[in-house]
Amino acid sequence: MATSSKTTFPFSLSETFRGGRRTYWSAGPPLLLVVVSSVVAISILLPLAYLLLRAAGAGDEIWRLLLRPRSAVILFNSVALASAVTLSTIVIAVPLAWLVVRSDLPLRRLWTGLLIVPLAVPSYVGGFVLIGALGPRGMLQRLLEPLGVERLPEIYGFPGAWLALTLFTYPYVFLVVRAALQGMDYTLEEASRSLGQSGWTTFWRVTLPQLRPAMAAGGLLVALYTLSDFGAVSLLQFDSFTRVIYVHYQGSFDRHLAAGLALVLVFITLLILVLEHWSRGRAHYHSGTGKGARSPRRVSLGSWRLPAFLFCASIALFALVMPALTVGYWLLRSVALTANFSALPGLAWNSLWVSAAAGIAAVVLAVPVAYLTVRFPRRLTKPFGYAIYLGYGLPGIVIALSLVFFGANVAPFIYQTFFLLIAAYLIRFLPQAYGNARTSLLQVQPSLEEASRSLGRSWHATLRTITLPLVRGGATAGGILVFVTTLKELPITLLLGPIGFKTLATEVWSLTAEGFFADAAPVIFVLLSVSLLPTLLFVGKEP
Amino acid sequence: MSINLFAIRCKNVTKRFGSVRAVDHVDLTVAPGEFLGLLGPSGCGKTTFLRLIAGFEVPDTGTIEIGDVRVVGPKRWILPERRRVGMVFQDYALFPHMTVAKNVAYGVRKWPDQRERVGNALRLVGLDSFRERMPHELSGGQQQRVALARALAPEPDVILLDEPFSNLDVALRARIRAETREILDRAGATVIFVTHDQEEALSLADRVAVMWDGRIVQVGEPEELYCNPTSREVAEFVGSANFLSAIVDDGHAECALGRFAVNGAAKNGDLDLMFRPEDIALTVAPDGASRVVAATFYGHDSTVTIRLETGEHIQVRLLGAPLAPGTRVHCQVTAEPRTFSRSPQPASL
Repeated sequence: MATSSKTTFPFSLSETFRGGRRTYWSAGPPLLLVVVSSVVAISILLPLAYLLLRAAGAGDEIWRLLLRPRSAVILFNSVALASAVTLSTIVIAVPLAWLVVRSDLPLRRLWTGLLIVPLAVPSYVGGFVLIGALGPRGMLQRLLEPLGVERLPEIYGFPGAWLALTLFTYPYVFLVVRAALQGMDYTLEEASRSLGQSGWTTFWRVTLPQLRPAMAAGGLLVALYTLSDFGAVSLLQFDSFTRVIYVHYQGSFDRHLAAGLALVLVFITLLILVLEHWSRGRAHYHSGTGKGARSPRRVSLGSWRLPAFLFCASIALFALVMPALTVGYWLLRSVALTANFSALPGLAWNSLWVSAAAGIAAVVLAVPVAYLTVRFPRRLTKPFGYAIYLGYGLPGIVIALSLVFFGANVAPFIYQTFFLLIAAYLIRFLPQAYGNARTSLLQVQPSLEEASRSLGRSWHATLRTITLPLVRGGATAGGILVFVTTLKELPITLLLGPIGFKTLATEVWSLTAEGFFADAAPVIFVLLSVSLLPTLLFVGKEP
Repeated sequence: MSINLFAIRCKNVTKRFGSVRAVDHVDLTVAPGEFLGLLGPSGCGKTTFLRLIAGFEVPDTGTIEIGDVRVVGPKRWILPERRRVGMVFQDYALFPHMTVAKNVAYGVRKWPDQRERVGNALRLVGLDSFRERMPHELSGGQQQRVALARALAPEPDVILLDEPFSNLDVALRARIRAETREILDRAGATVIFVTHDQEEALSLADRVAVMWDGRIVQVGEPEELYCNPTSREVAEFVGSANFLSAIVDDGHAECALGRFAVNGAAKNGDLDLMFRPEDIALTVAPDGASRVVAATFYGHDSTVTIRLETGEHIQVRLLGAPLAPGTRVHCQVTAEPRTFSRSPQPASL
């Protein structure tokens, strides 16, 4: 290269000493990041700490209430429902996953696509479907009445809640087990066959044990979902924790019991997480090395093809066709009844703008915290990540209740405002944005930033031209995910929405609870048309 | 412009990570235009030392001067973006969202002669026709050259290369090494490159600094380093070495391979003699006191392990095919041995 003008270097070296070491990061993270992260973490922890304090402050009174026989019934109900739903989803999902990955079942790709769709149905819509289809004044009853059928079996209570939650949560297990089957080391099965074991023995003694971690992980998701679910159990009038908490909250003279029950629910949730962690620590499975990855030999179903096909079809019938028929039936009736659709645009606007605000706020808050915990993984920064993930493990109704207490007693100036509502959404859904931001930041090698520095760019120019452009895609995806989940959220909106504030979700819930199925159907239609596609797009990425 | 006797001067530089001294009281001076290899086993602190010069780590003590500017010293610390130090990273660190041309232009953005510089740098590395490619569309060798062009475009005083060839196929490596040296010579930059490969360091560098446990144990021209290692570590790391125990008596040292004159200053007593594997000639002899115990054939040469009368083992390099194990041989030393004081236990790699 020419010996030319080194003087064109666009800065002079004499002015380089500015504040010394503090301006470079090896001496510590930028103060601004620490401040933002601390504010986020404290905002998450403070209301929960307050809930704990209040419950403790109530003292003997709360113990007297919690130790009533009725509390034992609620506890039994919740645990029984969570266990039953978890078990039935595993029984449904493991064969389904095996069929679409390992067998010669016809239309495997189509089944895979169809069987995931129920995941996008919110639980209160599931409740609507069961009541609207099978309830005392539902679709089936009306269709059968001319034939002289006067009473269908009772759908309210345990059977309805169990059925609704099973039908709309089995895809969690299906997805995790399917992924495990796809990533499995097939040479283990071949080894078993070469050691003289039959295909059936190999499945029970080699394949299934390897799937156990995936089944546990999927089951955990379902159990936590069931424990924290409010929509289905409240509509189907099953007395699990979330419904009773809500009922006590509504009868506002007795909010301490609601707080006490909420804490018991948190305790059970944590217990399940600890148990799962403990069991995983003992059973560690290595997946295949990925070397020599080739498509496995498919198992020929032979005469089992028809039963297998019917099994898939019947799941699709209940989890897909029945919901579609029910919503369609009530939609037609509402058109026939010339129902009034004038409220829909307002409801849709309310839903969209709070969800968009939550999505944007989630990205704005998640990226700095993720940057801090990824680039400066030190003992002092780790708690920021833990605080954010805490919201993931907490049922929405608990978060809502803690903010109600906090807002009403400590910060009345934000109580009943959109600020508090969106803060609650963030506590619940920030982990989604944070996880996405972290994943994309982890893919940005620190050497990229160092290369930029050594090419003469300051840390903020580096952030602007290198780091942020590279994480933009992942961060945006996280924001959209928060947007979609907020759109479907129910209990937080019910408890914290300012007076008179209605969204698509709360309207579906209250109309269904009051039996106005024909009025609820168009709202459901709007809600699902907005949320179905983005939700399914994310299913491919989420575990 | 003042004329400097050095391009980089480090004095007493120390960097600790917790209780580990990654860089331990290092002094090093690099002359302008010099091509210096920093050689050492992995984990010896050589990459940390490079990062201290570049400004990605802050040293605990010491001063670093680049050209006529002190970049690190008491109450002085210059940001990495102001040091005029180009760096080529081990993983190349090409910006994945920018084309080749944008990558190279990154360090000279908004300079009046930006276009010219980008063109020059890309022509220098022979990738002018790849301007609009994205980094992932290039081979490993091409990526390495883009990284080089990007570092060269602002014409920095100093270029640092961190294991620049370790991510390349063995077949490519020799060619890319020679090309890189040629490119950097033409650019006229002062270069420090880090490597754990002694062959790479010896064949490429003007001078080699050997680093061991955070310290620079010897600096010298490749030949000097190989022929006159000042410590057992250097002897063993730069090439391979046989150590035989010897007894010194009256200016001569006696070991299993014979009696050799040693430096008159050597005191009577025990010491070790070092022989390179190629410094020993073997003659097949049925009455030989030594025996071949193992042999490895590499193609153009081979290595045999010999068990001497004393029970000591040595490695001998032969041209062509090895001798079969069990063969009895005579050993003849063809070069003068180097002496080392007896270490409590043999140094091992």
